[in-house]
Amino acid sequence: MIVGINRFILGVMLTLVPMLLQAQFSPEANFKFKTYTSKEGLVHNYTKKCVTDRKGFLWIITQHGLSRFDGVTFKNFEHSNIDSTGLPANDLYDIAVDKQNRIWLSYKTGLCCYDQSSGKFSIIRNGAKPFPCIVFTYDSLRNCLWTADYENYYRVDCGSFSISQTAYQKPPGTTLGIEQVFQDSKDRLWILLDRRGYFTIGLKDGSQFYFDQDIWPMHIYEDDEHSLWMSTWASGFRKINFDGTKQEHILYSDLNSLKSEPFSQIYYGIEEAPLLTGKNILWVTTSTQGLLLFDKKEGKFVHLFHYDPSIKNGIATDFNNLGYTDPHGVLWLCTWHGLIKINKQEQQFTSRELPFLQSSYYNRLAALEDDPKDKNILWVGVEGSGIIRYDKKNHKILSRYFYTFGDPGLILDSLNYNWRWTESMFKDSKENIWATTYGGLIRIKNGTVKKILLAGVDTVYPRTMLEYPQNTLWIASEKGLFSYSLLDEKISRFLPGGKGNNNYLQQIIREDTAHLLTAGRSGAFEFNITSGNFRRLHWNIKDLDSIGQQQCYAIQLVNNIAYIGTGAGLISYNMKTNIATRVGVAEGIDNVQEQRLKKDAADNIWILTSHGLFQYDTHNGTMRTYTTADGIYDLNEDKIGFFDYNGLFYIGYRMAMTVFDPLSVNVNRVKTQPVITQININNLPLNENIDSFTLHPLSLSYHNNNISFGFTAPDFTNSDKITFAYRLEGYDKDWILCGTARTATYTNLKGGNYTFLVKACNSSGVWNNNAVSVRIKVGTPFWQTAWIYILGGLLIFLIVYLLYRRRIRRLVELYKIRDSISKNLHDEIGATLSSINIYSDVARKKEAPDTEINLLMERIYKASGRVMESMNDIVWYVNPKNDSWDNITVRMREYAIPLLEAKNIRPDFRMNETLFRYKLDMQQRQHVYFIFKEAINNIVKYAAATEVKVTLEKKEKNILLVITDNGKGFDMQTVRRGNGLHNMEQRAASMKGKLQLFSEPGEGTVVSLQVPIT
Amino acid sequence: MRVAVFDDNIYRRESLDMLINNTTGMECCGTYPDCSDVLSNISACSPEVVLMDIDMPHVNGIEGVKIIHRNFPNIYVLMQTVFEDEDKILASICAGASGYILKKSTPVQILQAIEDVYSGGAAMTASVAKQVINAFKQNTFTENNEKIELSLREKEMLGGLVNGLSHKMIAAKCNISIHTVNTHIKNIYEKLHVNSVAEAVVKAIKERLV
Repeated sequence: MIVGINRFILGVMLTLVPMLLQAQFSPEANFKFKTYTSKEGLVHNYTKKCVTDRKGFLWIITQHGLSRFDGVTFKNFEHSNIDSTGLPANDLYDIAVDKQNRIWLSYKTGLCCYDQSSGKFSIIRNGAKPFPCIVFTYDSLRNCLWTADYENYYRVDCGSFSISQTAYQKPPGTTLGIEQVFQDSKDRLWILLDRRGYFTIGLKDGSQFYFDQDIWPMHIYEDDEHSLWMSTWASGFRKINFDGTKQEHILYSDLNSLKSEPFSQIYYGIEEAPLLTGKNILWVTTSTQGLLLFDKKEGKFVHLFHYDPSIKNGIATDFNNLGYTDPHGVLWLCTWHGLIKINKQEQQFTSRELPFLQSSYYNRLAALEDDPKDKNILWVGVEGSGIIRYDKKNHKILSRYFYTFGDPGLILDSLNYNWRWTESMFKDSKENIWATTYGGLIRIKNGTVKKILLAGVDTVYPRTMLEYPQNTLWIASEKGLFSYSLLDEKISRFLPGGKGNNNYLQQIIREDTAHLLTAGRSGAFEFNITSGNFRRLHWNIKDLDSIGQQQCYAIQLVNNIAYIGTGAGLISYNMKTNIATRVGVAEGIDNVQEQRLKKDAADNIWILTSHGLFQYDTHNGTMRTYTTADGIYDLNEDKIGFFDYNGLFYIGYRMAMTVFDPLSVNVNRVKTQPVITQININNLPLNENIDSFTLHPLSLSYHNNNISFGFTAPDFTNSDKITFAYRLEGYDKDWILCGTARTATYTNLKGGNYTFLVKACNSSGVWNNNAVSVRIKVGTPFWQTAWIYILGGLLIFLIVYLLYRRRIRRLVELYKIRDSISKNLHDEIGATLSSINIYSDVARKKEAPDTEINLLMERIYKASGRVMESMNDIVWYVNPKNDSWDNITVRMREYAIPLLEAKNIRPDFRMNETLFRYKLDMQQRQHVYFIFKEAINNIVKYAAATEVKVTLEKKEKNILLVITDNGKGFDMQTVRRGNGLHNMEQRAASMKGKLQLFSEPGEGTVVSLQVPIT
Repeated sequence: MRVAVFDDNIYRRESLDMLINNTTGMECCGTYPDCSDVLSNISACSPEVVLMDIDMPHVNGIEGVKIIHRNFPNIYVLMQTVFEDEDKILASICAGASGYILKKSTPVQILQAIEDVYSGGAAMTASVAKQVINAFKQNTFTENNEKIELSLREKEMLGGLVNGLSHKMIAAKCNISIHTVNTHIKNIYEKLHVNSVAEAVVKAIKERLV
């Protein structure tokens, strides 16, 4: 882990480069300290000690109350005079968790125990009196607490709450109090006496040892290798060797700065945090002077964290209490100004603000290069503030190349003015360092700085450059591609867009031995080094802004795939197949600006966008997102530098920067375990042990069927990114992804058995399929039991069936009656009538014409014929077979056509056949047919028409029958409305239809009948 | 021309007997109330045209036509029915009837129909034409393994009839002579007489009638 320290020191140094202008040095570690205060919900900012319970919750005692923390929300406990089972006091002194996951708390006048399953605090008493025990430790072997005062030490049984005491053999006399009670791995108890010495008590043999020196012990800690470390007030930091009979103290020297000030030598807590700093570093808190790192191997303090407001996510205070490393390796610091978290998983990005180099200028770290000759010299390109020569060893700025500073030989002309715009730096094979700048290049050769203009072009602005093959530099600029020979300093220019066109290039990279790739405002090109020709990479991705996708700002190449940052998003372009696809659609990457694309050694493409930093794994196509929550700054800036130096990636913002190691930005693979924290029944919290419902269901009566569940996951790695899924078995078919929400509510649950399950997904999207569950049984009211449903269902079915049967029977009867009527008419009356007709005809012909008998016979003949005709109609109406438009139209034709033909009237029937399926009942049929007959008869009799048009069509919910003739028509005002028309209207009305008649003299007549569809 | 009458209504039998016998060139050779003895009846009077009522007790007209058509294929059977009953008319045609007439027809029309049938004419009304089209649409008929279908022209004829056109109008519309129209309709009749068609249609109609 020393490597880690070195790396951060390196990082620290680099971040400090610009700060050295102010000629001051203060070592800063690149740890991100996350501070929680009352603003985040903590019960009080003066935190004293914290500990993790068996479910993973962090419990924090403060000067005013108790907090339970899950990473997102604090559940707070404060003393209340009303609640006898609440927290007995606010100013808490010590805390421990026992095997039953109960929380033990001490306060000035007593000791209490909080039972999480019942939600109640119980006060422990010594006989009838309260039992004041300032500090204690939990002995998991004996399931008891050990505590002490200056006469006795005590054992408190956690099961029976009984207290037993043992007196010291040699009482030390009065002391102000006890600082700490500690049990080591050799089953010894260490009792640290305030402003005195300490006792060491063997719990197995009852042996007592008193260290009789007033070293004012503060804290004792046993490290991973079973070494004991002790912090004191003004007596230094010590290591204790104890062989059973003799104790030997090794005193370690202090940091010089601390030594000079005696009061600052109050060391307080001691902790190891192996995940953060490895095995050799102890984290030592001090009361007023910040946080120290002690290297056990070197036997000295190696680092001090001080409060510095310019450091993003730096330590928030120098006033500390105890530290605590939780089971996941997260280091917690209890301070006077809140609770501080240092989580290895959240240390990937180190960010800090930069001081102004020149108050009025834009100031952005653009590039870093080591001097090839002098290992102590670092060249720093700061866009807006020129080039800086920096002494790494002495942390000093040696010179600054800027138009108002810089070399005495520099002429302050307009070109030199523009020196401050450094975009990128590059080291060639001849040990020159090159910086691109407005107007040309800056060459740093053997420590001397010279500007080289790209001749022939006035305002060229080079952006990026490379060398290939050896001795040839290629420079991408907004005026095209330049080559520069290191041998003869010859400059050539190549234009991808042709003369006079857009040749604005942003980036150049190498493709293979013969080709370069360029990205520019007019597209991406493959450049052939030998021929000097450009080949455009053609693509057109659908649904993407057609102009934006051709504006290229950045390009990288991985395994023959070019990744091109464009104004419309990130595009991957296969150089072999020439197929382009869009990358990062789901992440919303819709614009990749200049310099915002980098490739790391593991073939990840890093993309800076206005809404986050993305890491695209080109091997498996996964994308990871980092935002301000991970420690980078808001990227919503016009221009951001993105460069690498010594394997680290740097993001240069205006006035700030972020450093990270692209290969160690790792995923959180620790799965997170959810916990169900609350059940509300009809909006009232259930005060029962929720854990017990995992096995035995919670029984609820049918009216308690509005249930909500509260759940969380005690996980302190990017906790606000933890998501959940829940499912109520017996109700939900599938898991419900609820995002970061931590409640689920079900209303009006039916009676039955249910199981509520929750699972959680950590900040890196790794699901823990091990769900936590509670079982619930909701009662069923008697009217919802199965047999009631069956009975009701049967009843309804029966009623419906009977009604149906009745209706069918009536219909059948009706049909039968109609059928028999038509049969009777047909067989008997019809046949006889027809014979009367024939008889009368035969008889008529036997008489001479014009005799009286002949005339009478003719009358009989005609009358019987009329009756037969009418009866024919009646039989047709009555016959149920004819209940459709289909049949009626056939009959209408049969009736009309011979009549019209006899009068030489051309019939034109246009029937919409799709209407034929509609039904007409007997009555309607009769009316429609009658009206039709009447209309045809009128035409034949009066209209003198040559053409009749009959149409049948559907209009909204009506069937429309229109009979139009081209006859002479009549004046609707003057012509008397005859019986016929009145009759027609009545018939139409009786079937809820509508009859309309239009006519004008000479314009023919239109009869229109609307029949509602039934 | 010898005409036999089958009708269950005694007045109808008598009146037809009178009408036919009073017409020159026609002779009513026998009247019978039903078809229970149709074979011997026909043998006895050997008519050229039979006027057959459809609904009769015991053995009805459709059965009667079938028997006559099978045993005396040269006798023309003219169905008569009081009112239009397309299903039964179609069934009769399929059973072998050569034409049909409504009882409401005037005596002149009745006599004309007898003449027409005898001279090979054939009439069809719109509603019956529609039934014929449906019968061919809904069933596939074969005779000696050959599919019997209506020709395009025949379908055109039927379509005209369904639309209410007279033979004359159909002839004008299709630009053919009335005689040709008649021939087509006669052919349709003959196609319906083919045994498989007749059986199938009669069966189908019977099922629907029951």
